[in-house]
Amino acid sequence: MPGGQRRGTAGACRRHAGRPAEQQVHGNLQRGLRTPVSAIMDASDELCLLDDAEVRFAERPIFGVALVSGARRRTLPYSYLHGSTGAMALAGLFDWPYAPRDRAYFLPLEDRSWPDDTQVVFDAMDDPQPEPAP
Amino acid sequence: MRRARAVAIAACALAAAGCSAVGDRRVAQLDTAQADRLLVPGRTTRDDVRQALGDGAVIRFQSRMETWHYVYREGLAAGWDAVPYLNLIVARIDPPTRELVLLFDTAGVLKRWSLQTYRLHHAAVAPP
Repeated sequence: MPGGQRRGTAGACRRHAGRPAEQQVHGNLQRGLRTPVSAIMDASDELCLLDDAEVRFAERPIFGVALVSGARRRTLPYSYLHGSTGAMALAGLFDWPYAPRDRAYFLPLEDRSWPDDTQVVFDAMDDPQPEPAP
Repeated sequence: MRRARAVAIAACALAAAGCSAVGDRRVAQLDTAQADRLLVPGRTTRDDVRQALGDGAVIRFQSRMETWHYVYREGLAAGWDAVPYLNLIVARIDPPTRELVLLFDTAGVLKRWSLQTYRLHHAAVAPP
C-alpha cells in the first residue's frame, strides 16, 4: 500500500456505532436541532448501522475510501465522501463543521457481508495519481 | 376502472424511467485509456475538462481545492430513485453507474482523478 494510506477497521466502526448516542460523532454534530422525530429515531436500535447515520472524519483530506477484506476490495462511490449527497443538504442547520469536509466520509455499515476486520483504506488527496495499468 | 388507470399510469412511468438516463453520456463513453490522455495531473485545467466533458457537480473545500463529480447511469431518469416504491424497482434493476471524480488544486489544475463503474447494491464491476 502507498505510504499515504491509513487504515481502520469496519469492526471498530461498528463497535463505535454501538455506543450511546451522546458519545457518537453523529450525536455531537447534529445536536443543534432536536425534534420529537429524532427521539423516535434514537430509539431505533439499528439506526447507527444506516450508511448515512454517522459521518466520520479521516486524519487528512481524502480523495477516496476503499474497503479491503482479503482479496475482496470495494472503492466506495463518491456519494460516501465529502457529504456530497442530498443527505447533508440540511447539515447547515446543525453543528456541521464545514472546515473538515474534505475529510468526511460514511461507511456502508449496513452491508453485513463485510466482516468486522475489514480494512478501511484511505486514499489521501496528497497521494500521487496511481500509474495507469499496463 | 380506477385500478386499470393506476396500472396504466404506473406502466407509463416505468417505461419513461426505463428509456432515460442520469448524467452525461460522454462520461459513459470515457474509458481508462481515454481518461489517461485527457486527464493529466499537473497540466489539465478546469477549462480543458469543461470543454471535453462539460461541468460536473462541484464541491469546494475550505482549502480552496475542489472536486468535480460526474455520474452516468442508464435506465433511470433523474429523480425516480427517490420515489417511494418505484425506488424498490430501481434497486432491483440496479443498473451499472459510471463515475468520474476530479480533484483540482487551488490554481484550477487537475491534481487527481478516479474513474470507476459500480452497481449501487453490488460490488464494483470491471472497467471497460
